[in-house]
Amino acid sequence: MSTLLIKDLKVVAGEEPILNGVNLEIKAGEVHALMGPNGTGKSTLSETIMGNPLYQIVEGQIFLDGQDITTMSVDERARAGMFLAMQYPTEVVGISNADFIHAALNARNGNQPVAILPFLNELKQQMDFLEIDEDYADRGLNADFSGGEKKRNEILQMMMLKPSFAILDEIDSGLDIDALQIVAKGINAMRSDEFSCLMVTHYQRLLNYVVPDVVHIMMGGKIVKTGGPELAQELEKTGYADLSGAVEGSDND
Amino acid sequence: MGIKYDPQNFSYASMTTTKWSWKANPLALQELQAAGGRIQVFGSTQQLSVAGKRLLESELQANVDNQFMLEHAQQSWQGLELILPARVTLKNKLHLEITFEAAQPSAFTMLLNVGAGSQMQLEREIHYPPVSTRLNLLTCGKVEADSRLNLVDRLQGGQSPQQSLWMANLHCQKDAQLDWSFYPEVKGKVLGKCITVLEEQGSSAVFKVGQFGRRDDWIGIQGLIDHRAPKTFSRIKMRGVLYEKAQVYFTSIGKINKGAHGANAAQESRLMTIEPHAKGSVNPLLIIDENDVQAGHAASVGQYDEEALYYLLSRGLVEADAKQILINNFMEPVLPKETVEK
Repeated sequence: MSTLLIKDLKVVAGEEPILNGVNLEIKAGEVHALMGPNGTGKSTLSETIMGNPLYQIVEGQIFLDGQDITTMSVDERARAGMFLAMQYPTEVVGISNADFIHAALNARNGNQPVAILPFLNELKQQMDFLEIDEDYADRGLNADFSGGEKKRNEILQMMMLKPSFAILDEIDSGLDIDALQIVAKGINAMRSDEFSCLMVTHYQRLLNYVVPDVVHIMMGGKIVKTGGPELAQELEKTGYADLSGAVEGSDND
Repeated sequence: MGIKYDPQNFSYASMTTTKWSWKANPLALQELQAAGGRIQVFGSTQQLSVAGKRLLESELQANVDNQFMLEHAQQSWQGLELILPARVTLKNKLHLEITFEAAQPSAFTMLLNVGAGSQMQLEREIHYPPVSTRLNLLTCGKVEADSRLNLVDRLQGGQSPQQSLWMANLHCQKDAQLDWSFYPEVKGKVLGKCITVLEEQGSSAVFKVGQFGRRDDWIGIQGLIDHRAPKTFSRIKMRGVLYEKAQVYFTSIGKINKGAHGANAAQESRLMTIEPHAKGSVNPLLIIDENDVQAGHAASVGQYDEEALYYLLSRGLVEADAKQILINNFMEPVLPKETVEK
């Protein structure tokens, strides 16, 4: 099970309303894409699901596998099975990439240490899969990684931590075509009945490699249209202008 | 600017019966002795080498305005003199432990001389007695031409708060390199003044300080690198993490004198305050009297990087572990990995 349910979510950042009543259900095994113009609240939705304290929920609820996680802290949500691949992953020089992933696994394992040898074997295997040089295991977390390397490292963490639900916030931004294919390969490798995912993206090209089950369009802090993969292809042709009338009074069910 | 003579914080009591002992790792000590070097105990200036005596006299003359040093000079001279002859490279790191055994106030002096073209790594550990006391330590040293000294100084105290005055003046000659780290891992009050003089062309120095302040520790450390010759190079890096009601004050001074053209001086001092009652300040100073130089400084006092904390939490780490990682990360530029506190 890995179902995410969001009910009438309203969120402010400081005094400013960003999300104005988001309803969304992502069932186990599904991959959803969230698209929309800049500044419509896509990243805010991602961060709010993860529990970023910069955003305050003023109304609505978030459920993961039936459990209300609305008031849970960020780390509690992560240990409940959630993962956010961030748009701008932070650099932390003082801990190696491998040590950090191992620490995160231990935390998710109820602070029971995960056996080191199998961990290292799996890490090597996944790094090979994502074509990440093995030196990167010993380098500081994201330290001096290029933009593309950071994105691949987010996918590596996701594959190692095996969340039941992942949010990928513009995982395709700044990637060249080869890196995009590798990242897509990693996402596709995660697909199963036990995993669901929300991909935030601006571009159709990621969806050519990771075909979503459902595509949502967000505008004005709401989801204004929902459809299949063809919706993203239509958007490539028409842009968002045709949808601007849908913002007011939209019902995104 | 820098440290002030304040008898309320630090004063010299009469010191008569200081008890201390020293030991070094045998392998490195044998290597030093086999190369013609030595570590020698002295109980008066008469027992110093000619070069050591000259160095001490010259330091006292050059620091007549330093009240602490003048007070120190009025005590009975005792301490260690370490001499590494010219053109010797020690393969083994010399680990020197100096232990003060009695609770009475103590004044201790150490002289260092690294001969021309020589290289050594020296780690000094100063062990305090388990009960509170006052230690005043003076180091004077010379890193001669084309030589290299990697020096790590640790002050290690027990559970009792101590009072420490740490003065060190090191001189680098032509093309000499000094890499100096100072870790005052002692409770109570620490007042440190560490001066490096780049007195000849091409000499360089890196001075690093790593400090964890706890309880009601009061720590004031000044690092000064004095560029007196052309094409000299220096870096000062000071970092401190403050808990509880600790107070830490860092002053870093890069001084570039007239004629030191092509000098390159940079400094970075940062404090991380963990708890609301901890406080401190960082004071970077550049005193430049030459046009053709490169110099810069950076300083900050602040708390955790909230964005980084969020990132770590988002992977499932509990807050205490995530914060510890950020503390380690903050101290990483100045501490060897094995010394980062858990």
